Amino acid sequence: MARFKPSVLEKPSSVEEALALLKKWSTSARIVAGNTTLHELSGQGGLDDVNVLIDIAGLGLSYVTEDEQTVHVGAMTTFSKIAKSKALEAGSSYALKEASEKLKPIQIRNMGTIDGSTASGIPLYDLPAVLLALDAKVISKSVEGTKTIGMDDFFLAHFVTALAPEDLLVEVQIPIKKRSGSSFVKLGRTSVDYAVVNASARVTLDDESHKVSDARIALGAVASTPIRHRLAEQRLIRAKISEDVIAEASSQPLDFDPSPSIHASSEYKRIVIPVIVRDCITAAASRAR
Amino acid sequence: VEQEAVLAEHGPLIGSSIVRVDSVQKVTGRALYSSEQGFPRMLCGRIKRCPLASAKILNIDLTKASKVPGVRAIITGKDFRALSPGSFPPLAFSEVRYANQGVAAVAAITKDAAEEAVEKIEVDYDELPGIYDPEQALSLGHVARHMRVRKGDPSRVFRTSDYVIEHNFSTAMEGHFLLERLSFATQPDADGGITVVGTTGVPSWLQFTLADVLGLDLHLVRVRVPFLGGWFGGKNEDHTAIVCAKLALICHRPVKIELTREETITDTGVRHPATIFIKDGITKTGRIDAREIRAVFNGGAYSSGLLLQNGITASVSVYDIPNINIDAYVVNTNLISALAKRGPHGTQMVWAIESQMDYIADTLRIDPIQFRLRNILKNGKENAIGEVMESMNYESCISKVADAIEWGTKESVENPWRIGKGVATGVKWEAGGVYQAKVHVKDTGKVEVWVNLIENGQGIFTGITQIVAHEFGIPTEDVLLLPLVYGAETAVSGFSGGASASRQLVNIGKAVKIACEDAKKKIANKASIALKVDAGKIRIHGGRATDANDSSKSIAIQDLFIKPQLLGGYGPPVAVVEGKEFVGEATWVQKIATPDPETGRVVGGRLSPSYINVAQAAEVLVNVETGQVKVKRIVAAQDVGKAINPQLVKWQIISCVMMGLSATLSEELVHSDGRILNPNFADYKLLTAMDTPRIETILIETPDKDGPYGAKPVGEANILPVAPAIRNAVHDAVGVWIDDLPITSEKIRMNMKRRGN
Repeated sequence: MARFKPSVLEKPSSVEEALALLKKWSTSARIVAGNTTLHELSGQGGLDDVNVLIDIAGLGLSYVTEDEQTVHVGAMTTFSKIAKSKALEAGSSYALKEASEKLKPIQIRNMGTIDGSTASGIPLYDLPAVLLALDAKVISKSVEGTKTIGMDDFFLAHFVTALAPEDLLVEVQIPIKKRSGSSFVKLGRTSVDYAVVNASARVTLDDESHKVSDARIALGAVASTPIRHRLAEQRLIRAKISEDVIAEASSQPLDFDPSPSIHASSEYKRIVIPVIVRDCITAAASRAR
Repeated sequence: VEQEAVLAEHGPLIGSSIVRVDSVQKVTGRALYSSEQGFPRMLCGRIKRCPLASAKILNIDLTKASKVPGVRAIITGKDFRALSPGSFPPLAFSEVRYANQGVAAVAAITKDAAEEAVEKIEVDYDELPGIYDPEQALSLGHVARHMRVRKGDPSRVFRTSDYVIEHNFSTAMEGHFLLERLSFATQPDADGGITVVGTTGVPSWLQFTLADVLGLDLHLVRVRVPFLGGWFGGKNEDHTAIVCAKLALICHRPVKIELTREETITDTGVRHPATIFIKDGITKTGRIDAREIRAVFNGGAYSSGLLLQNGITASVSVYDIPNINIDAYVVNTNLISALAKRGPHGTQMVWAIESQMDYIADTLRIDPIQFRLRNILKNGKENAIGEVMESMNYESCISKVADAIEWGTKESVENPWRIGKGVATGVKWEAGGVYQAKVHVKDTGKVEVWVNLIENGQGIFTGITQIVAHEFGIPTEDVLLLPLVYGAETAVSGFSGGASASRQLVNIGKAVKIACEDAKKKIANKASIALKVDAGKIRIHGGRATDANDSSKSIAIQDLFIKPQLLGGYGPPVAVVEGKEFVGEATWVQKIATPDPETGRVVGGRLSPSYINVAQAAEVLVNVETGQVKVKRIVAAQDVGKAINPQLVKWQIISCVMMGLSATLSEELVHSDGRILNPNFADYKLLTAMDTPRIETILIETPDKDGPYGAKPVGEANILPVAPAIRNAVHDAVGVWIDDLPITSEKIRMNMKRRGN
């Protein structure tokens, strides 16, 4: 069996230095953000092509700030820090805080980062669905320059994102929407588990009519990427929120077949998705004030 | 009043929840575990494993591997003497019978060199079709063991029964998922022997196996087991230790093998998955007249069915059924070998039987508690294998859990949740064997205890300390327990049947108690000369020998020692008058009879010295939309004989409930062509502290005739009824029966859907 046996540990102290190292080592390197994913994958016999680890703890990328339009979350911000963030307390990005708070156990909350949970492209993680629902953008840098990638274009396949090997995710930006609420709901087998299915929703109401002006609903652990539940979104838009409307929206057919795993069958996922989506929309709508 | 009676009979220590004597060591990290053990100049051992579950080994080429710098030895199955067919080889000999089986092993000066050499070992295999289905294995005759019970004539009774009810049940392949991985450090000894320090729960067993396989004299093999980070029957496979010892003997240097998490999970015994068919004939009045059981246990590659009797005993010792036929098989397949996990075989049988009991109660519309009580095997009656039930108390266990759970009432709950209650009972057999203990009474009044004792988390050091302190009337700090310092070991501490079957407190405790009595007799004999009092009247207590009738006639034990003349007359008092030491010794033998192979009836003695009965009631919430189960509370009752340390006993029961609950709701090793797909904590989900419901324990004390102070084993019995109690509660909540473990949300929800919900 091949082994994970990196021989070089780089500890850049600036973004520029990190970018130069990424350019130099390219596909033979992996970025260490929280080290929880790397640790698990290497333990399972993967990553035998990796010779270099680049630790980005020294780049000053751990922060949550906000301006008028946007919440900025630095790549190295841990779940714990996100969960405690005042900036996410009341606004439309609450789902990010909610998902981070719900993530267990605390050891992973203290280690894991938004970079790792996003850039590893693992669809059963919790933050990908959240960031997709919140219409977030990833800011990535390389020696070539800066890229901004919307979440709808970011996740490409299992373990594959729009980031190139030379790219460094430096920040996640989440637009602040008025009269908008968001939520995250997860179904796992035990208290400490990956999602069997998870869902995140952001519901925005029109200022005057109080009808839904925008809805984004994303599901995780059901496909090779987090995926939007478009039919449910369409049913909500221009509707006035009520129990019946939410019930109708959440029972819209899926335009994909939920992928089975050793944790749950496709058939079971089909049964519980409407339940999770309903709870998710209900919570998001109740926060949209 | 009860408390006073206990104090009068046993003094304050027996029945007192003193703090664990090893708690400080454990929380400060001073308690050392196997992975922290080692020897100077130690080599690193690594095992080459076969990814296929069934294959012939055509050729093993060591050429490239031997050239890796730092490699000191490479061995294969052919380096061991041939074993009898079917027995578990340390390394595969000519065929591989389960995925990840070891085929070669390397010792090298560094871990990197050992790993590189393992990668460079080239093995040619001829892959064979694997057998994973136990029924297929049975039809092909791959039967490791077949046990029968024949009593009366069930098939005749079925023809006239008012009701005949039959169902199939199954259980999952469970791993142990112990926090501590397997680890062995071995050292060639100066006299040609070998010392093995590592993870096993039965040191004397490992000693025998090592001597046998390596062709060494028994007493040249020394096994030492430090604190164990969990055991539950899961560290009994000796092959890793044997490989490690062999490498050390070849290299003339110490070798350490520490398995990775995945290796530990895929190369140590699992709980036998079982399929169990039960057919019952019942009268209108709710009496079970006849029962047939057919159970097939998937033993994986090498299970010998050693523990199958446990399943039989558990099946015949709860209910009074005049006609019983049982056929139980352990078959061999190409999965990981199954061995012991807490309550082996019994847990599977109790799952099926207690599920069947609720099926019957439901069909006959009888209350499940009443139905059980109506059929219970009463004290003084014989079970189907001919053992008279003694000091049993099913009725009390069942009615107490029913009262505590407020049986027959239902709280209202909010949508989408439903609430339900379930009950189950169970019985645990007891092990026999040979157990030795020695106590050395020191001149200071302190007592040193030499005993081959395994601390695997259960708190045995504390229980044994309480017994010794009680016997001598000394503070627990004055008991010097050698295993606390050296671990369990075979070289000087004598023989023990190990930790399996919850046997240590009752058996080693018994040996220790007898050894204490022996030492006290010797002290009394010596003191009787000084005090001019008949030895029989002298009481040894608090470091003194005192005339029981006249407390003015008393002498300190210290004064029975003389001071040796060393270096100018100074030195510690070490020897006793006339040169004898106060050493108490004991060998406690609990002989075990065997069953007749045709009828299962026990011949010539007892098979289970005593039986431990338990009952459990569960209250659960079930989400009708997702099938999720939230366990609200579990009440567990057990007849413990005598709780030497009630808090530790309660913790044992609580841990039984949690381990059982985790298996009930979540645990299953999944395989594809024999390769385990979830050998890690991320994919094989155990319940954690965050999933723990309220667990209430009820201790019932009906003294046992043999156990010290009447104590019975407490480490396993309460894992038995967890799964059926939950299953029966789930049915009470949402009306679906789950017959296959684990009871997952998905199974509940899909079952509800099939019923149109």
